[in-house]
Amino acid sequence: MKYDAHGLEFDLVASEMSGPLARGRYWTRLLLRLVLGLPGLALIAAVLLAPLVTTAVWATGAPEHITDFVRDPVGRNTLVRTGCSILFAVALVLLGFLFAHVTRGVERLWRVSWMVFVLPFGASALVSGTAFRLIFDPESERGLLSFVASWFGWEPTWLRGGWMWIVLALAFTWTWFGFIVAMFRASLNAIERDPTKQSRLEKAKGWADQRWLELRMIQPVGFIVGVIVTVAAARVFDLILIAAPGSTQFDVDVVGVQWWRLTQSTSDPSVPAAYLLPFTVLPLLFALIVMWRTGKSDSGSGVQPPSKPLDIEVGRGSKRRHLVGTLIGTFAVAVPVIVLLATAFHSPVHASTTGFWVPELPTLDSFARAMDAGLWRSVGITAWVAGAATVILMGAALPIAYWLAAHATSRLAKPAVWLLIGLALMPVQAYIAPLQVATEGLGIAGSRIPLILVHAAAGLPFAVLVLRGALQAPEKSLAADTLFGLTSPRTTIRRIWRQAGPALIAVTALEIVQVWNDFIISFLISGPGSSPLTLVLWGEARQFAFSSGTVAASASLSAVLPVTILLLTWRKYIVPGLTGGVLR
Amino acid sequence: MDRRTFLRTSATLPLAATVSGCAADELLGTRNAVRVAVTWSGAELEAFRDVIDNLRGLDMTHLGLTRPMDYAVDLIPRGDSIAAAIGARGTVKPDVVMLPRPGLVNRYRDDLEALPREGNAQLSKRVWPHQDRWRQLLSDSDTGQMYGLPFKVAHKSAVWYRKQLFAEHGLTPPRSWWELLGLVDQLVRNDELRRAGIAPLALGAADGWVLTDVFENILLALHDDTYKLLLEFHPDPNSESVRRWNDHHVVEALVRLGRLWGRRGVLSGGLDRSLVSQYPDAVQEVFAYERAAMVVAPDFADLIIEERYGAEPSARRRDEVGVFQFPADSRSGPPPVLVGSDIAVLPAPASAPAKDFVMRLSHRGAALPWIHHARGFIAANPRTNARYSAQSARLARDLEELRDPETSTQEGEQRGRLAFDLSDQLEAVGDRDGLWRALDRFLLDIGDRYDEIDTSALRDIRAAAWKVINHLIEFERERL
Repeated sequence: MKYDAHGLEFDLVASEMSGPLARGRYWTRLLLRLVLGLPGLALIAAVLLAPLVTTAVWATGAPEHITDFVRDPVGRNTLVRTGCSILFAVALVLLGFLFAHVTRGVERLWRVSWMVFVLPFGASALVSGTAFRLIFDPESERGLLSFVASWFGWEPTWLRGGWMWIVLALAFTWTWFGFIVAMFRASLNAIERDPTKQSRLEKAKGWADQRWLELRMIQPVGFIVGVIVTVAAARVFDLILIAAPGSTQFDVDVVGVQWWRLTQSTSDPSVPAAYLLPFTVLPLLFALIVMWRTGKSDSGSGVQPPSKPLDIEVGRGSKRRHLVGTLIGTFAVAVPVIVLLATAFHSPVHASTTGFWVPELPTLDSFARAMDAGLWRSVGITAWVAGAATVILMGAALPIAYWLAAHATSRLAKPAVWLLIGLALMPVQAYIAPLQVATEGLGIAGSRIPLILVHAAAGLPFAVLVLRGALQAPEKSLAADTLFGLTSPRTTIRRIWRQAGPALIAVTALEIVQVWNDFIISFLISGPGSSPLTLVLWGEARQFAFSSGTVAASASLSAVLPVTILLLTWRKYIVPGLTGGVLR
Repeated sequence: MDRRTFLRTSATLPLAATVSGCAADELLGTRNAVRVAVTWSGAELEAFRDVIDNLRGLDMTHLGLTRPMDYAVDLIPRGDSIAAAIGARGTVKPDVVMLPRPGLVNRYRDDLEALPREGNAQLSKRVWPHQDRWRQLLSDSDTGQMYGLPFKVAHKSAVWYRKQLFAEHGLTPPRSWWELLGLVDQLVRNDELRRAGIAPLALGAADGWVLTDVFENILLALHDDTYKLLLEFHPDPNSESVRRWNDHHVVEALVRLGRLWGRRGVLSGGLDRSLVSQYPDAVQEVFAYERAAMVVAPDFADLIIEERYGAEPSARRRDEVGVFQFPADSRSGPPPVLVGSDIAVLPAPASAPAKDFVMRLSHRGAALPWIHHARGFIAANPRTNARYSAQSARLARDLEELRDPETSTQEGEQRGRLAFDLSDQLEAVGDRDGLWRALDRFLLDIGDRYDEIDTSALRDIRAAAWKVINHLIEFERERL
């Protein structure tokens, strides 16, 4: 609307004033952001991208090694095995999705069960490998399953041939199944709370159609879970080293392990690098697919922390089925925990010859021997490394996440997110070897600083994605304006905390758990003995069955802290943090 | 929980509080400690810890060490991949490595520092009269500098057996290879034993070195010239084989191996079970589960046996545990004495405390706590005056050519044909992907398969032996 008065022309705009407060001196602000973002960018460039490129150059620099790798039956077999384990991971995710339905409608039981289900996720691959090798010990005097099988006159050698794959698959399942189920369960409950989605779901006909629709509704979460589990399957390393006896390892080595064996036996870095080419290329491709799919999804199924228990109605008959199913599941997940603890409380001599079910007065001898092997020292070091890596990670991730959230529509944002997803999916084998060379070249191998930096960098892409998801607000919304507009630094921090506090806690908790349970980074960067897990594997587990008591004690002790942290933060922070839009 | 355990557990609890303080030093790599990489775990590790504690109290002035041991010693268990600790890229390098495979010292010499001058003096003829063998293995032939200090020696030609079982069935330890086969045959055919589920042999085939040890024993007993010949490497790509793998004695040794392992019912628990058994499991198969009559295992099996009988009266152990030497080719020939050793080496550059620590290990009393409390240890220092268990003492005597200044070489040859472990000295072909893998496949091909070792069985075994040989030749040729 325009009007004219005394030679002055007025123009009235019929909309409310909006938009972020913007300061005149824009450059100082930009500079500040750059300075804050620098550590993160430097970490990504120096510790992730540069070594990745080096690996790729090593691999492509000698193409004959790539053809050797594919032609050599050993190389081809490891590749096929890795492919199969990835397929298995996908199947496991689907199975977890279906089982999540079973656990619904039994809220009272779930209040206890979820802890059992989620617990293994806080324990390392090494702990699960230990538990399952104990259960599947082929001697009927020691192995629980062999003991039971011997009643029926059956004496299979579990740790050989096809059986070994079943043992490995079960150990992997134990670690991840609870995580998958709990994540899907939370997402399904979120659908339940959403009336429009609920009604769409009710219109769908048939069981299969409903499940398919559900899968599509919870797609972002499904993708995250799928991707996390698949990457875990592709990078399997310590699980095989601890669970498979030496002679069986010839038959179960996967790419991630065979690569390491080659770094040990040859000095030419291009030979093992050839093995890693799929590890460097596939994640980037996969990241493209992820972005393409999530761009289309009707996302926003973020899960809020449970305020009050949801009352899901199921028929009486199926309620009983759900109850029984959940109980069986809970029990199955609990068995390895029981085996591990029961073995640990036996004396080393007793545990080396007889199973945990043969009564003996509980003793701390095995724990004492585990400590004798230097467990406390490595626990202390790892606590420091985990703490320092987490602080650096948060300091580096937040500014980048903030910038990406504020400039979601910028032309730079999309490629940046793609790269971050790709890096988050990258197994550490893909970039660790050049880092080993670099730390030696710099002469800083004696300190743990390289280890801390590598840990921080390895966790960085994922942390940025989670934080960015939490900070992102609809463009031109009031929330976006208050968050990204001009304020004093204190106010900015307060607003970030209000918006992304749970995500920050989730990332912190996950990083500590991750560093604590890591084997491969600390083993390859700092050498054995630097973390409790490397100590267990290269020390006690050398003579696995003979050291059963000590191995079980070390494994139990090393799992206490990460499991506690995980259980304390799971419902309130981690589930909302992970489902709150990592890929938004 | 005994008193010792209680004290140790309670001592570690306040440690948790102080550990954070120590860790700060550790993070920056400024902690004043000697990092010692070891292969040991469990009871062996505990024993080595006792050894270190004991070092602080010993008088070392005659070694030229007048200052007290004013540094901490951190033990880093490296398991069986310990050799990687020396050449490890990037990782925190240990200051001292207790290398369990002496043959590797030569392979890694470029990464090692020579022993300090006093160390060389300590290894002189005066103290270690028969040090020539060590010198061959551990020194630089140009400078004469020694690159490692032997701390522990291992007798890898021992066969542990159940004395009582042998006595009950009128069996005696074999004195030649064919007697051993005859003994195995007798045991397999014995109905009473079969009903009781007792097999002749336990085999810890999950550990590659167990397989190579048996093979090396057979070859050494059969023809020691071939054994030595295999150490020679001719990197000529045109030659048929860069190493004499295709020597007919190697074939014969493998065929003998096949005769032993190929017989159905020989291996306790069968083939698959053997393949997932590690070396301690095999020892337990004989002495804890009593499902096998004997096991080929080094002298340090003593420690496992000691743990087993620890709580029982010593008479029980005396009646039950016997050991004999791996038999010679014929009754008149010398039996093999395959030698292993744990060598203290210094990855370069070595610090003063690291050198000091290695020197202290050369003290003749250094190993006594291990020998007397844990068992399963034969001291490398010839002047160590220890009270060994009956079986260890028996095995220690075989090694006297290495240890005892009074034994002449001739006497030694009668006691046994002494040789260091072969696979250690073979570079990569002696490791996991070479000999270990080949013997693993060999065992899979022929193990626990034939009711009689007749001509057709022998034909199979011979074919499998050639598969091993071709694998080894191919393996080395690829790496030229």
